[in-house]
Amino acid sequence: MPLLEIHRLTKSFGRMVAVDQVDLTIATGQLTAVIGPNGAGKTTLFNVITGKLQPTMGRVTFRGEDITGFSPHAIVSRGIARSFQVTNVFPELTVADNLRVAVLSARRYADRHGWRGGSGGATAEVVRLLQELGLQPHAELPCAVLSHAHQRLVEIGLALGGHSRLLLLDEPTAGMGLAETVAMTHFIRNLAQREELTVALIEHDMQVVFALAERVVVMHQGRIIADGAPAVVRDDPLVRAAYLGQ
Amino acid sequence: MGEPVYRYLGARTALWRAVVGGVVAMVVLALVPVVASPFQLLFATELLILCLFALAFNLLFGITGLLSFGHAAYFGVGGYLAALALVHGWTGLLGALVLGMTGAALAGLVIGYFCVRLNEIYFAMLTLAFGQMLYVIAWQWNEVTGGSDGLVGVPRPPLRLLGLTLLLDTDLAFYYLVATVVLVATLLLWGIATSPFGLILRAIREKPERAEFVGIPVHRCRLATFVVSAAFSGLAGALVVPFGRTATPEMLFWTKSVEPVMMSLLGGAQVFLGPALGVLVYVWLKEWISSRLVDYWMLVMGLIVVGCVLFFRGGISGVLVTWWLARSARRMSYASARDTQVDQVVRPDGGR
Amino acid sequence: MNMMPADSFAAYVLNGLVQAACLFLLASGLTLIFGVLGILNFAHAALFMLAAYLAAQVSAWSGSFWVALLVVPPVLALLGAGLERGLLRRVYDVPVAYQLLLTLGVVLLIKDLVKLLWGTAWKTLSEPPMFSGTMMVLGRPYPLYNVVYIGFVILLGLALWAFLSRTRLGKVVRAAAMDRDMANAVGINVPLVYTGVCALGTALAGIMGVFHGPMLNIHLDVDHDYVVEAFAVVVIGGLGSVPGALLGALLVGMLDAFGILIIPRFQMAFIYMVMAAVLVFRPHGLFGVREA
Repeated sequence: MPLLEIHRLTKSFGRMVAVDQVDLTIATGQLTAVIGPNGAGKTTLFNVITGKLQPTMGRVTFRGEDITGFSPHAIVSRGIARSFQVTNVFPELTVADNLRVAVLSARRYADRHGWRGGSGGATAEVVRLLQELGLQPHAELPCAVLSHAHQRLVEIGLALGGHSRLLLLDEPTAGMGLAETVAMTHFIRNLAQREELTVALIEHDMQVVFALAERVVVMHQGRIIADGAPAVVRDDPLVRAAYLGQ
Repeated sequence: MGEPVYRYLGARTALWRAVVGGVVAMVVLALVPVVASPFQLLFATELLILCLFALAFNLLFGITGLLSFGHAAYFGVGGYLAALALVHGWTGLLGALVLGMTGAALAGLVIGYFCVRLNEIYFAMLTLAFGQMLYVIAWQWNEVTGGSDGLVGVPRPPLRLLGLTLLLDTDLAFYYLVATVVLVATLLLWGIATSPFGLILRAIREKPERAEFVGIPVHRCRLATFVVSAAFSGLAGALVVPFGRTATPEMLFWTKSVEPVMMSLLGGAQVFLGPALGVLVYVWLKEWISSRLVDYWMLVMGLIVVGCVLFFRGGISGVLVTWWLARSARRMSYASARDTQVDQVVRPDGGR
Repeated sequence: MNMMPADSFAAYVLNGLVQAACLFLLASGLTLIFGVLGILNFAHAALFMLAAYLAAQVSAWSGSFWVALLVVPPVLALLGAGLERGLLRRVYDVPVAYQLLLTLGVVLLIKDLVKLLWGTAWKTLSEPPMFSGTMMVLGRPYPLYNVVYIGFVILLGLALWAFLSRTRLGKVVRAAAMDRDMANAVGINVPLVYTGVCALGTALAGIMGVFHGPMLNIHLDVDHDYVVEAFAVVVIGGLGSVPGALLGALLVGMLDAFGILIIPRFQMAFIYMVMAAVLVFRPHGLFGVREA
C-alpha cells in the first residue's frame, strides 16, 4: 500500500487554479523531490495535503485513510509532518523547548496518556534530537538569536520531533550558503535512510535535487508535467520548456 | 559527546520550587495579621482575592496569549452562585466556593467554546460582548440576583471540614481562610504553568498556526485553559462575596474586567507571579495617591499604563528579569556559541 | 436620552433613528481609525465625553450652541492628531493586546483630565433655541431637536461617504487602509494620512459630543455605556467600514428602541447578543474590510 495517495486534487482561488487535478502516489521509503518554476503550485500542494488549505476537489489518502479536508493537527497527529519555506519556529522559546513542544505533541498522541506520559521520556527524546541536529551548544538559546541556517535546522527538528512517517520539507535549504546547503543535504540523506521515514521535498536548488532524489516530480501551472528518475526528467523537453518559458 | 548543555529542569525542579515558595508564602501570610492593623488585615484579604483573580486571568493572557475583556463575568458568576448558595442555605461555605467555581467553569466552557476560535481583537470583543450580556442578566433578573442592588447580607457560615468547625465571623479567621485557599489555588496554577501543558500553551501563544502543524489541537488547548482560568476567577469571586457580604452587578461590568488586565501589564504578564505583583503595586498606589493627591489616581495609573506599554511591556517583573539576565549574561558568553561553524554542527554522528 | 415615551409607532421609529444617529457618529470615527491605523481605540468614547464637557463650557462662555459646534470639533481633531503622533504611532507593530491597553491608559488620562478641569459636578448643554420645543409628527408631539439631530447626521453621513468615495483625498485614505506598504510605495505620505484620519475620526467624536450633549446629563462616567455599544456597532458593521457602521448603527438603534416591545426585561442585552452572534458567525461583520 502506498504511503500517500493523491487523487485528482484541485485547489482554486476563484478563477485561478493553483493545483489542477493532481494525481500522485508516494511509496514508503521513497525520496521524492517536487520541482517546478515559481508559481507552479508546489507549496499550495503541500498546503492542501497538510490541511492548511481546503481542497476544492479531490482526495488525499494517507496509509489507507482518507484525510481530505482534515484540520492540520489531525493530519500531523496521523504521521505527516511538514517544515515551512519561511522559517517558522517559536522564536522566544529556546531551541530545546522548541523541540520539546514537538516531542510532547507526538507523545500525546502516541501513548494517549494525556500528560502523564512522563516528561522524563520526552527529555531523553529532546536530547537525542539535539544531538542528531547538532544543536546541543545552542540548546538553551532562544531561537530568535540563532543564525538562519540553525533556525532552518530547528524548523526541521520541529517536523522530526513528531515521529512522523512522511516528512514534507518545503525548500529546506532556502537562504543557505554553499557549505550550509551541503551539510543540510547530507543531513536529509541520512534522515531518509532511516527506516519508516519517507521524505518529499520542494527544492529549487538542482544540486540538492540530483544529490538526493530517487524520483523527481515536476509541476508547472498546477499540473504534473513529468515524473520519474532525475536523469530522465532532466532531459525531458517539456520540463526544459517550462523552466525556460515558452 | 560534548558536555550536556541541555539540562531540562523539569518536573522535579518545579516541584522543589513550589515547595520552597509555598512554605515561604505560608510563613509570610501567617505573619501578616501579627504586623498588620485591623484595617490593613481587611486590605490584605481583598488583595489576596484580587491576586487570585489576576493570576487566573493571566493563565489565559500571559501564558496562552488570549486577551479577555470579559473576565469579570466569571468572577461575577462565581460570586453570585456562592451568594445564592449562602443566602438560601443550600450549602456551607466550602460548598459555596465549589459551586461558584463550577458554575464559573461551566460559563467559561460555553463562552470559551465560541471565543477560542477567534484571534486577537475578535476574541477580545467577543469576550467583552458575553461579559456584558451576563452583566445585564445580573442587573435585570431581579428575582434571582436582586437586580441593581444585588444580594446583600450574605451570611458567612462557619467552615465545617473533617468534623471540625471553624467560625469565620472575625476578620482574622476569614483572612486565614482566604490566604489558604489562594495559596493552594496559586500552587495549582503554578503547576499548570510549569507543566508540559504550560509549554504547549506558550508555543500556542507565540505561533498558533505553527503549533497546529506540530500536532497541537490549538482550539482544544485554548478552551481547556479558558475553563481553568474561568474556574479560578470564579473562585476569587466566590471568596469576595462572603468577605464583603454582598454581590452586586458591578462585579460583572467591563470596568471590572479591565482590572486584571492592567494589573498583569503592570506587574508583568510573562512572569508567573507578575500579576500578583501588579495587584500589590496597583492597590498600594491607588491608596497612596488617593490619600495625597486627592483622588487623581487615574491620572497616575493612566501614565503608568501608557509608560508600561511604550517602554516596559514586560511590566515590573519584566524589568527585574531583564536586569538579572543582563547580569548573568556577562558571565556566560553567547558569542562563542554563535561562532561555531555550521558544517561542524551537522554531522551524521552528531558530534561536535 | 431625550426620548419621548413611545406611544406611537412613529415615536418608536424616531427614537430608534436618534439612537442610530448617535451610534453612527461614535462608531464612524472608531471604525475609520481602525480601518486605516489598525488600532481599536478604547479612548474614543472618552474623547466624546471630553468633547461634551468642552461643548458645555464653550456654550456657557459664549452663550451659543453654534459656537461650540464650531470650536469643539477642530479642537478634538487637533487632540486626535496629537494622540496619533505622540502615542499611537509608536505601537503600530506591537501586539494587539498592548495597543488596546495603551488606549485604555489614555481613557484614564482623559477621565482625570476632565475631573481636573471641571470637577465632579454634572454639566448640561442646551440645544440651540431655534431647535428646542416640539414638532408634530403624525399628530403627536416629538422633540424638534431629535429630528434635527437625525437630519444632521444623515447629512454628515452623506458628506463622509462622498468624501471617501468621490474625492481624491478620500481615495488616498482608502488606499492607505487597504495596504499600508503599497500606499507608501505609490508615493502616498502614509504617516500624514494616518495622522489625518485620526484627526478626522476624533473630530467626529467631537461633533458627537456637541450634538449629543443636549440629550444627556454630562458627567464623568457618561462614556461607560457608550464604549461597548460603539464597539458593538463597529463589529456588526465590519471593522473598518463606514457604510457598515451606518447599517450597524441603524440595526442597533432600532433594536434598542423596539427591544422593549420584544424582550422587555433584557432588551439591554440585545445589542451584545447581536454583537456576539456576528462575531461567532461572521466575524468580519456586514462589510468587513480589514482583517484584524
